[in-house]
Amino acid sequence: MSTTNNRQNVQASGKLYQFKLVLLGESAVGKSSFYTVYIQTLYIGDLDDVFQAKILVLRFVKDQFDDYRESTIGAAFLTQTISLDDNTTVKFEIWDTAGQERYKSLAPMYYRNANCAVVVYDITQPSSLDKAKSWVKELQRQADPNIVIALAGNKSDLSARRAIDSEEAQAYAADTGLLFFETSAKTAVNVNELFISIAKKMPLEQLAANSRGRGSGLKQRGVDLTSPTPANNCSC
Amino acid sequence: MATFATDKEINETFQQDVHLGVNSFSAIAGVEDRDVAPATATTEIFGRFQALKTLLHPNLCEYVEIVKGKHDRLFVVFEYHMNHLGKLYQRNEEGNIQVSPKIGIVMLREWAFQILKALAYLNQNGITHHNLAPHNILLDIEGRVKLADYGLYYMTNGGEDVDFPIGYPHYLPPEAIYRRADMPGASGKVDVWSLGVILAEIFTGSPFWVGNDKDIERLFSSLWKLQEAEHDDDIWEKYYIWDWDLGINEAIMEFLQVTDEDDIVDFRRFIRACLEVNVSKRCSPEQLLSHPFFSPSYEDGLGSNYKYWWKKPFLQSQKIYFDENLLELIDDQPNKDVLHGLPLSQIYYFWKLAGGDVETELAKRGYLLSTPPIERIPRTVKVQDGKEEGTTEDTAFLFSDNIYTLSLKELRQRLEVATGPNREAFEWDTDYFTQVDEDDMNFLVEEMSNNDNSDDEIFGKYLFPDPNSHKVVSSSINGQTASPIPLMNREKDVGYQFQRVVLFSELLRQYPASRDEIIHHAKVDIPPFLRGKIWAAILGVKGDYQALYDSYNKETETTTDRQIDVDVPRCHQYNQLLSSPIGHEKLRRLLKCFIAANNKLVYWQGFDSLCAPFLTLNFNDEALAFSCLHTFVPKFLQDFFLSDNSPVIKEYLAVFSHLLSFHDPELSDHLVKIEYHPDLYAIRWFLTLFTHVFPLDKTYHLWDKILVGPPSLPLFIGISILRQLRDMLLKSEFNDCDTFSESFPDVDIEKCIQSALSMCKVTPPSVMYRVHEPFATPNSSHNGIPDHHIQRWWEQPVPIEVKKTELAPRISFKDLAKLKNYVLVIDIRSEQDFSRGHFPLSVNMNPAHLEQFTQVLKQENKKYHVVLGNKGDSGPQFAAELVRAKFPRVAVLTGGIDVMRVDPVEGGVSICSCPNFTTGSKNGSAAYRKCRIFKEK
Repeated sequence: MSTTNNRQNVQASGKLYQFKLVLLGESAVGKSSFYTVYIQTLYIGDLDDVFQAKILVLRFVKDQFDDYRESTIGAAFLTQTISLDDNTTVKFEIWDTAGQERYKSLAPMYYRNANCAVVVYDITQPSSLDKAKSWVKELQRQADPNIVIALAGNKSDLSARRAIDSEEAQAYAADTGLLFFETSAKTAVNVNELFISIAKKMPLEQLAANSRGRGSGLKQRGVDLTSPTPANNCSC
Repeated sequence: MATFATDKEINETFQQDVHLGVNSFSAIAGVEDRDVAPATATTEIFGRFQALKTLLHPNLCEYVEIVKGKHDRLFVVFEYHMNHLGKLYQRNEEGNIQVSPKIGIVMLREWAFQILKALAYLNQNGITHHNLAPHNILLDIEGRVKLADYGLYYMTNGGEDVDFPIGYPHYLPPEAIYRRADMPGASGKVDVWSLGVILAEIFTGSPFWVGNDKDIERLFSSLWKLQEAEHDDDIWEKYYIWDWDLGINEAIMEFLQVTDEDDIVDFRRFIRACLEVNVSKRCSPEQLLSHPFFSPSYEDGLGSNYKYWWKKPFLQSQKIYFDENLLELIDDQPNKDVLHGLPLSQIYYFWKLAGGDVETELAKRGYLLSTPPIERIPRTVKVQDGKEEGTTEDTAFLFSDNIYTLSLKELRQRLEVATGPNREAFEWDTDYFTQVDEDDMNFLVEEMSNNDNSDDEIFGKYLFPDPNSHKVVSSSINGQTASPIPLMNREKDVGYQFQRVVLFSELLRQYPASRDEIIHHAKVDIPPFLRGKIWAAILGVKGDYQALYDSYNKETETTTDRQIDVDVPRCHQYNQLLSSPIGHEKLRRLLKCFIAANNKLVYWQGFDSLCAPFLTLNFNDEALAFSCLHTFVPKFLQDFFLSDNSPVIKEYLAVFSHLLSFHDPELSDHLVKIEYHPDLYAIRWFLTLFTHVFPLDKTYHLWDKILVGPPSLPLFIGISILRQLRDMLLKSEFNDCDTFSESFPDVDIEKCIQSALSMCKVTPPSVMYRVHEPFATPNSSHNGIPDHHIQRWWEQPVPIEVKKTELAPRISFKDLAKLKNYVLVIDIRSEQDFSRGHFPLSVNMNPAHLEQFTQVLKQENKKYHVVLGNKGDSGPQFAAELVRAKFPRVAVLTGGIDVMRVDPVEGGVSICSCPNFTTGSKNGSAAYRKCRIFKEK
């Protein structure tokens, strides 16, 4: 499908929503793995068909989850477009950030104009929740006031080594007005649920295409559901 | 002191009788209830093996390499000699083993001494042989003992990582069978027992244990009995052990039991000492070296004369079976062997380049016939007495102690052709730096010739005149550009690599005196085999770097540890060395050492990647890896690892943007339009000098050139990467650039370096001037600022915030003067100002009229476009418009006309005040004037 045709299609027949999501959190809590899983989800399934997608994701993730993913320096980003139906297309721009405290000064560049943020901590690392809280504070102070923030306690597959109470994090999330899930990027548990909740909380009508003011020609790349190529094959 | 004078990789010499042996095994199969996964075990072995390569002892066979084959099967390559003590063992007609003929005491003493020396050396290095047997006690052509297979126990973590037992039960002491060998101080003593057994066998001519070698059960029960008796003193002298039915051969028992003072009493005592059942009482190899058995002939400076023992008349070595083929080989080509004098590791490397592959080699000879999977389904039947029937050995999975030798015949042939008189000549592509395009500028050559009075060490050194470059230039004039053989082909060519390795080995032996020559030759290419040391030489590592490394505290916990600990196991994990546990430890120490050694610098994520090339190339020499890093960072990444590095990085990225607009205005303009800024993608490029971008093999090639290139080369490499992806990027919107941000599988490194260097050549130094440049000084020639004591307004560095907003860079008058034949100076001052004085041959126009004159300006067909204005006018904005109009190489003159007034004559250029400039073209009210005169002064 040529991009020109696609653009015309979108303009002619449907609505295009675009949103920018930023992943924040301490080093090695699984941010980058998180978005790998997420992208695979988008490739495979339709947001409504959670069950089917999850099965598929599980299968893919088992092959592709990488315990030793290279660290992220500065930031990495990825965009993905999915068609909800013939008339609605949603485009995601996902920013993955470096976890090390030192890179913090770069973060505003990445969360600027973000519509949603997923702040990730590692349930086996007590310090990572504190770090997550400080990210939440920073976002609430500096980011777009309408930003939807979700807190994700990742690595729930390692519950034997749990160091952070579910309830504690849950209570904090409730107090602060965050979405909250305990997730596992490795087994894909709750990853879909998290993103669906975010999607539901997004005021879609306000996210009309081109909200970022980046040129006028927003091209689309088609979503090819038949070939779930790994979206993120970092070989460096 | 010559730093690498004694280095094993360039010095150990190859003797004619040496062979390359291979044996092979697999790590533990994936058994569920084990903690260690098979892949992990393989990696662990791989990592532990590396240290074995560094061992060097006259009585040890050298370990050369470990190779991971299909199904994680491991192949170990080592020095091998055809002759070994196992050849003394024969089966007689009844199938019993006999050792014959008897060997005299003198010989045995010599062997024992050399074996103990080797064992003691191993113990010093924390290694236990645990596998000693007659067939791995090799003898070289001079009859000297060479132990083989001594690293298996060590590399497999005491056998933990493999499914098979290590050691031959007939030669193992009781405590090894019953797992008592782990007790402290016991480790090296296992081998002492084995030595005792072997010597007793050879002396008596009888195997130690009765019965055939499959009767393990009886052997084990005997060893158990001995183990039980560990508190009995002098057990071998007691008659009651005859009643224990130990299954020890009578000849051995009789030998051990003699208590008379006969002429071999010392030998007998020595054997008994070896066979001490109680491991805590048994001597270590080191202790045994001072046993009375070795005196008096050995008492003065033990072993100092052993080297020549075989020349003495009491030799009996002729009784040992000798490989006749070996003799023929030596007679045929005395000292003509091309391989003679080369280190074994080099020979193996060349063997691989000549097409050798251990796995294919063994498969070809049928040693690796693996059973198809369907055949491997267990067909084992348990019969009544618990024995298993039906299992067949699958050579692909079991350990076999067979040693296969690699044939060096083909390598010899290839090398003889390659070094012979009719060898292929290689075109050396030194023109990277100096090749002159007749129609263009070359700042590198300029700088080289002006270098005489320059005190700028680095800048002067990356250039050299090369005799070949003339040839290249002349051939390009004839329309045929000589195309050098691609780097990849040169690296695979055994003849070429042979010559390069010989050359660099010689140069490295003379380092540091030979440093300049090393750099000179390294500009052509760097032979991969010696890359680690050549890099160190280029970086100028010298002195006692081990002491330097040892002097830093790498152990104390710091606040950075957590970050290092999460990053190390993620760093280049596809690499066998870096993914091994030993590799993790080494990288961690290296990082901690660097932080300890540089108190102003901090650990930034990505620094781990930066260490990776040095560590992988010097895996067995952490201190050298550290010293390389320690000299590398200040040269190439000065201040990048300060805790506040943002001024440095911001400036670097601003210069990067300038260079992009300078060399590719269209791409630059597009990326600016779609807001795809360098800070979104390029931070990790420069912070890690591409190690976080490319896999290690590509990084090596990139760094080969970065190390000998100008300091600005990394910037141009960044631009080359963008330009290789140009077509894709020009078609992309911001959102499409994601595929670009991760990795670049298709980027061709050699082309990338070539294009980076050719851009670098034509880029005036002042265009890429950085305040934070490693060797920048206020008077630096790069800045083009003469050595004044009064600071002029233009001598203030452009503030970074201003610099960031400007699309085009600034150029110094000095550089502009050099460009006089290639540049179009566009003067945007008023007509009156212009008529009072201007740059020769410049044009004058109102900046608002660019649109009308774009075509006219382009018809001037100049390679550079420099904007000249007054202080504080719209020069930078106008330059940006030129960039957007796709004018190449646009810059703004620093200091405008004022700098020309201060420095009236620079490089033969002075202000022209000719009144007769012509009005080039008129378009309505817009006027365009051009100076037509150029007077050289």
